[in-house]
Amino acid sequence: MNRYKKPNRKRTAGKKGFRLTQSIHYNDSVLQSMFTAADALLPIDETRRADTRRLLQQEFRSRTVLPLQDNRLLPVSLLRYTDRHLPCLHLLGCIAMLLVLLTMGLYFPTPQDAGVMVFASMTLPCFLVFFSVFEFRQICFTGMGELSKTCFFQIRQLAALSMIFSGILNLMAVSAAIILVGRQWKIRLLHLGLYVLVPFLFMQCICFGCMLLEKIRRHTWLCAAFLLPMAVFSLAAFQRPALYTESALFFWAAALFAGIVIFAGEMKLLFAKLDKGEILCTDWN
Amino acid sequence: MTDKELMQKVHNGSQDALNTIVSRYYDDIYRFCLYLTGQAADSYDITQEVFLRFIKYMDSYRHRNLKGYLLIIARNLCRDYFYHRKDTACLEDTALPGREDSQLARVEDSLLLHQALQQLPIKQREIIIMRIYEELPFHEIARITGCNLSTAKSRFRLGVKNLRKRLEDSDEPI
Repeated sequence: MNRYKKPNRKRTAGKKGFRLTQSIHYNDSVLQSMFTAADALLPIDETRRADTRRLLQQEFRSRTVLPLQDNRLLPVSLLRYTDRHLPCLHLLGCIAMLLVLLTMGLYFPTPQDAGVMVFASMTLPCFLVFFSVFEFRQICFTGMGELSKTCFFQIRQLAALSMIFSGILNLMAVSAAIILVGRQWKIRLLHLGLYVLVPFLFMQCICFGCMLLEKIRRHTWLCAAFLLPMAVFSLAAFQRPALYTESALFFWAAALFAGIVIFAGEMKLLFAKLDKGEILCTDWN
Repeated sequence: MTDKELMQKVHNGSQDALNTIVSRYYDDIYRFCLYLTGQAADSYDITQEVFLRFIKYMDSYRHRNLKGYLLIIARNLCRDYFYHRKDTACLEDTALPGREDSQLARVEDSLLLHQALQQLPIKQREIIIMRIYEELPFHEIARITGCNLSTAKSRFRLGVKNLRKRLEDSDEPI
């Protein structure tokens, strides 16, 4: 603690002893030294301290001790306590999407049908976004807050793990779709990747943007309403061959970059809200 | 021993580690509550409740700043205290020992400080105490108070301005 620094004030002797003037500048260091001086005049009652210590020891003895797990085992604990139904459904959804593309490939096998397949590969991955959203929603609204008080994990870690798994599943499914369509219909993978990822990413941004809003968060099914505009966008893009030329690639890349930035910002906000307890009740009471 | 090591020992049932934590942070938490509430007796009660809640909820503590964690609990309890009291906390002269002539200046300044602090809005008061007294960085203060960084800084600026004004206004000829 700093030594007490007397404020710079003039004192003149008067009838009552001291006369203060108004030449004091209370900068931060003066305020800090005033706190330090005040501390010296605030002795702690040792009886109360001892009472607190005694009470804590009684409370501590009656507590069930749960040994602290190694941090490396934390993901194992997280996996043990997460619901595995939705991730399994998500995986089935990814497989179903790929099967639909394969089936469409049987009906549109010629190179002239490449446009139809590009439209399909732009629209179908958007459905996978709902699995990610439902998995996140399940963490928020199914009592995980209470579970986190008894086990050694945080809701934030659980949400992050869930997002990573669903993200990996989505990216693998989208990559498989891109490779499948690109190879069969002789479309450059980089180009197709941009055409597919842009609407997929914007669908993610819209749905997770909805999760940021308190009123919509509990009605996740409302996000499905955005599937229609996304399909319309894909159809509109399908109708304009100029959007699929080399010269338009820059705009697709710029849109992808913008989508990544927006999505990253939304994730940051979402996890900040989780941390503060705005989404999940982790209040003391 | 670091806070992280202490917490690991406490999690594994060590009472000595718990006593060390109490010895290390009891004074700071008590004074924080006292500066916030202005009531010595109630501050002891709140401090006791802080540590009791810490034991109750320490499973959710994840090796961040332990003092900051305790301050969050203390701050929330002080807020509950004000909510239940529904009146402005007043300075208790009994919080300070008897005045001796040799300590007159210090006592005067301490009384001024207490009075000026109690006149501030609670949000500004707690941020001033955390920044000037506890010397916490703004990002930690923002985390404890649940606001963003710029809000914490702006409340601090306003609070210090108000505090200075009240201290300067109280320097009247006697």
